[in-house]
Amino acid sequence: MLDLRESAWRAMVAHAYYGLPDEACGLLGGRRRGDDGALAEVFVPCENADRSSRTFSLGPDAWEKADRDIEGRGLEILGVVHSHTHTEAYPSPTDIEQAGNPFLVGWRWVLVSLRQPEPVVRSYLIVGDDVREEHIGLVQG
Amino acid sequence: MSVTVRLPTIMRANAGGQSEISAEGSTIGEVIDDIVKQFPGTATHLRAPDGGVHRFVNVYLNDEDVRYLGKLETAVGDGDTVSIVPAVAGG
Repeated sequence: MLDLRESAWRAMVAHAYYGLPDEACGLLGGRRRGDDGALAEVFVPCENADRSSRTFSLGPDAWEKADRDIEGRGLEILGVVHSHTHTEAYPSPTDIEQAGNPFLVGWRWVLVSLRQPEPVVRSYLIVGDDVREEHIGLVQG
Repeated sequence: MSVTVRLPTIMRANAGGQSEISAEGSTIGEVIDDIVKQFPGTATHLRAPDGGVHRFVNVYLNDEDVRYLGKLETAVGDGDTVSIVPAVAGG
């Protein structure tokens, strides 16, 4: 279960719309809880180095921002967030393949779909080919 | 040649908690070899199964992506800065 601060939800959705027509991306910072829960406190918007509506790569700015805005606040990186501009909020085959990245072990993949009139945000844990959605609970603040 | 290597937070636990280390080498490939020699735990993130550099790592020499320079053969100079940057991507 991912508890997500409403401010972080708003920030990631706003960044997704701001990035149109390209996919937008960023990092999620917060605290882990128990075995597989977490409280996501901040969303850190990053540049999509691909400048593409079909793919994203976190720009080199991402890690300086992560140092300052996540680790610098005593939080840890919980996952990567990106938008799907015309498809559902479900990891693409490319996402699942990329989740094998050894830097991302234990990270969440949070998807923001802009396909429908209302944005849809979902969170997944991906291990190998196993894609498991987790419930997102919005938390005030 | 001695260069300064900047490490992402994710790798620091494998490098004695340091954000910057010194490494020796005349090319990017040799610098990476030296990082792994000094801190074997960094191999998790840096080394591909075939012994090369993991495809999920981007390497910058003085802010230039080495993929657009000479890749692992890129020559480094004394005092240069090498940045190791996780490649996080998807679609």
